[in-house]
Amino acid sequence: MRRSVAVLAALIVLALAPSALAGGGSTSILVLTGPGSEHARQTGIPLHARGHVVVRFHGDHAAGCEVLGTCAYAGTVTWAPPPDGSVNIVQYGAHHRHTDVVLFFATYDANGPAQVPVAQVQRGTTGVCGDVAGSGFDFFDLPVRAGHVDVGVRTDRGDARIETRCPGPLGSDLGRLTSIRRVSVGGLRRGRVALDLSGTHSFRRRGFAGSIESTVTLELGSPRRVNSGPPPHERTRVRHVRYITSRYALEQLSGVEQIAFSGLADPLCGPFDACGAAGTIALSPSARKGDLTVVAEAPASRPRRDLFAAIGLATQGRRSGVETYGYGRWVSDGGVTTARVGRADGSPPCTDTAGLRTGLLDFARRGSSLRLAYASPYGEPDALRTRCPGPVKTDLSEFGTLAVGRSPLAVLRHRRVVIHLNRRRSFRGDGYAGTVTPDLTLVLRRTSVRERVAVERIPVGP
Amino acid sequence: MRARAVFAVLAAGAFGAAPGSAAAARFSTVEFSPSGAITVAWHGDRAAGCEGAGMCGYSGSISYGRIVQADLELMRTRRGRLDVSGNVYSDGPAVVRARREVPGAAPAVCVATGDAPFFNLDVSPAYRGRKWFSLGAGSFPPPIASGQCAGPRLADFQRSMPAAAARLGRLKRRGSRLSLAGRFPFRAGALSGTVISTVVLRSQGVRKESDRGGGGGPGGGSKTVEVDLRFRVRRGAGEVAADFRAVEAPVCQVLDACGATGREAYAIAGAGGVIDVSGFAAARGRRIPSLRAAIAAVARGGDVEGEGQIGPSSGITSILFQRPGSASCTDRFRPPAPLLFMEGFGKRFTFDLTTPDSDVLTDSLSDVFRGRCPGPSQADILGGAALASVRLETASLAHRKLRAVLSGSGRFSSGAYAGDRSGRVVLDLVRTRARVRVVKG
Repeated sequence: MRRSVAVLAALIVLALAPSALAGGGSTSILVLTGPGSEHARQTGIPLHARGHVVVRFHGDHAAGCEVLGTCAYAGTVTWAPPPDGSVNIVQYGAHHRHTDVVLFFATYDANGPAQVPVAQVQRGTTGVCGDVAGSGFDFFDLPVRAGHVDVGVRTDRGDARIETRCPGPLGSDLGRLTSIRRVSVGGLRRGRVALDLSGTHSFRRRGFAGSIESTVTLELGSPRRVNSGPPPHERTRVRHVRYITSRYALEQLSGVEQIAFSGLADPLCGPFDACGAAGTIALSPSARKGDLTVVAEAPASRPRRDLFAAIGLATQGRRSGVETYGYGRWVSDGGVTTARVGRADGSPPCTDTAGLRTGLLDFARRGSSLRLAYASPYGEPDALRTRCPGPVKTDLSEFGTLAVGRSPLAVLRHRRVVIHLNRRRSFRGDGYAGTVTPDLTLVLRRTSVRERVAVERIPVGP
Repeated sequence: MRARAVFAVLAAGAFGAAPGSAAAARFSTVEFSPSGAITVAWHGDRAAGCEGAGMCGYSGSISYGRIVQADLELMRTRRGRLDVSGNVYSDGPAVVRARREVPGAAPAVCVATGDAPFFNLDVSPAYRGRKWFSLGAGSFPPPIASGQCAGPRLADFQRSMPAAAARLGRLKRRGSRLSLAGRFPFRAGALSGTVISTVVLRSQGVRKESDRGGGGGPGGGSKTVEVDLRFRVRRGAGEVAADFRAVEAPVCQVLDACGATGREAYAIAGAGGVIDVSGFAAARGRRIPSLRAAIAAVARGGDVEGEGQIGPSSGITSILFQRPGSASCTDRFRPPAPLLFMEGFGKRFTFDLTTPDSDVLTDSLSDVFRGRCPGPSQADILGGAALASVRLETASLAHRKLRAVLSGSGRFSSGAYAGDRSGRVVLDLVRTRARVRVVKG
């Protein structure tokens, strides 16, 4: 619980509780739940948002557009935040001394103009690209310092909100999309306040310059305590569950993943300005930090050898009926995404690099083999995106899986495990199609194996 | 919401046998593991007359996203009849992109989004024991077609949605495959296009469910006078129109509408159509009253309900969309005929000219306003209201001839457009059937 709410949000089970704004109308409150959240105090404040954000940008010589090949581009990203949402304040730790705050916009039924950010980018007078941001991410961590919260929409840590298939600045280039208003935690918890996030500021970074205009205001309603636990009178039954958890430290994730792509045939390429475009994206994670947790779960009546066998730590044992899953993350200081996109009309190619800081690992067992996948984390910058045009991660796969490798489950018997993520495949997305050729090597070192029998209460209805 | 009520009434009518048969039906579901996506690509087509319509510079696509869930519900009645229908769900959102490239202006693009769509999986007889499995756009709410951007109407490519023939028995087997992949061309006024599908459904086998439905018991012991009337639309004339203009930036820019003005008009000129009207009132004794007396009883405290439709070729829609410095976009088409709907209590009732989907948020198959040019949809213009309506005396139902002057007006602002709507439609009705009954319940 010491990390940001983003961690909590990554583990959330969403529950949307109806509420009412002080000014009338109805909205929803987000309920965040995750490990440890039962000891936390959570306050949800419904909000009503008005206004919009417009990012205007153009290829800028002073920002180095000639080097990147972005001088011909000029465009906008327009976002009208969905009208409903909530600010959630989570207080935890001894005497609830630690506070995390998250701003949430209810995007699940957002289909008004630009409620999902829309990019419209001109390429001189010859091309135009129109696309919507694909992340669907609707949480923003609000920094808390010295009892005060900075309320606003920031993108300085890298955010997928404005990233599309069109060329343009990255979220990390912009810093923030709205003005920031500083409010005391106590004041925020009382709700019933209007926060003016309007303002205009300019930016100039890596090939592009421009301005960001915000007219966004947030009207906060009456706060309410949010209970993330089960209803007090809900009937439950008890079950005993055995868990075997095997933890690995990531020693290395090296190699390169090459993505070669080209624009689809007309008219499918037209709205993306992708007709005649072709390019490559190379992902080089170069990670030396990270972890992977592999879990076997079964009723406590099952012998532990079955669970050990299910996660490759033993040869004897019956694997069927044992639930197996695994998750992890790698972190890199030197990872980069490099893109180069050329056009058949001979216009200057776009070349850019962006930091590739982190990625998710997903473990699954298929019979006697394991499948390890690397994906771009939800809500964080799309690993494929640079300032050049091109496909996004969801063009490669539904869940943004970037690379996959398979190995016999037996490799996990060794303390040091080497897995190659090298399954080549083709893809066809919106505007672009191509092939993915990963050649990544993942080296893991097992650090611990723990067993735990937990008593769990399962709701059985009223 | 009234329109949705109409839809519910019509749906109930369409499946009129359902309540009784559902009580005795056995349900099972074939679940599929789907893959692939549906995209509609289109462009202004010179061979289809795009120059005259001012649409040669337009092209675009509608991306419905990956299909993530699909199922087929099988209902076997006790009489042995098998009803099969299903749904295919996308993870959405659906994204509409319409590109405009005309001489003398920089190219522009209109971008709109819609909810994650789902499609009907319609089943109809094919050949030699096979059935056609086709994706349909008649789901509710319907998938977005072009939103406020230029592009085809939902009805334009509904008949070009993917279809394949297969044996139902084979699809029940786990692992069997139904490929709905392919390219399906369509023509839409001055536009041509293709529905591109990569959808493949893999059967996960049949999941059986227990008998469903309870089959409600008989009504109470009270008696009701029921008046059944049928009116034919002898003549209809009038127009419902919306004049619109683009709102300010930045919203107009997102939808490539800045500076635009236009008019969408639905005109009725012709005859045809019927409306069935029912009146209900508490009965006084067992004797069947005269028509006039029965209607008087309804007017004293009974209910009036009526539903019908004007003739299929009675109305036509004309679109004019003007953008400074560009050729005007025009379109003309015959939309599905609107519905006639009556509802009231006691002395007066409301008579609406409406459509089943007037309150959906986006495109619909019954949209009488939305053409292939950019502009507001019926949902934007009406906001759930009827096209035109009038309050009538319940006693007027006793006349053999009935003239109804329906009207409607109002302002609207939705998405990139705001404007005014107005309408006046005169309907001359002639009664062709009258029946009075006393029934239980």
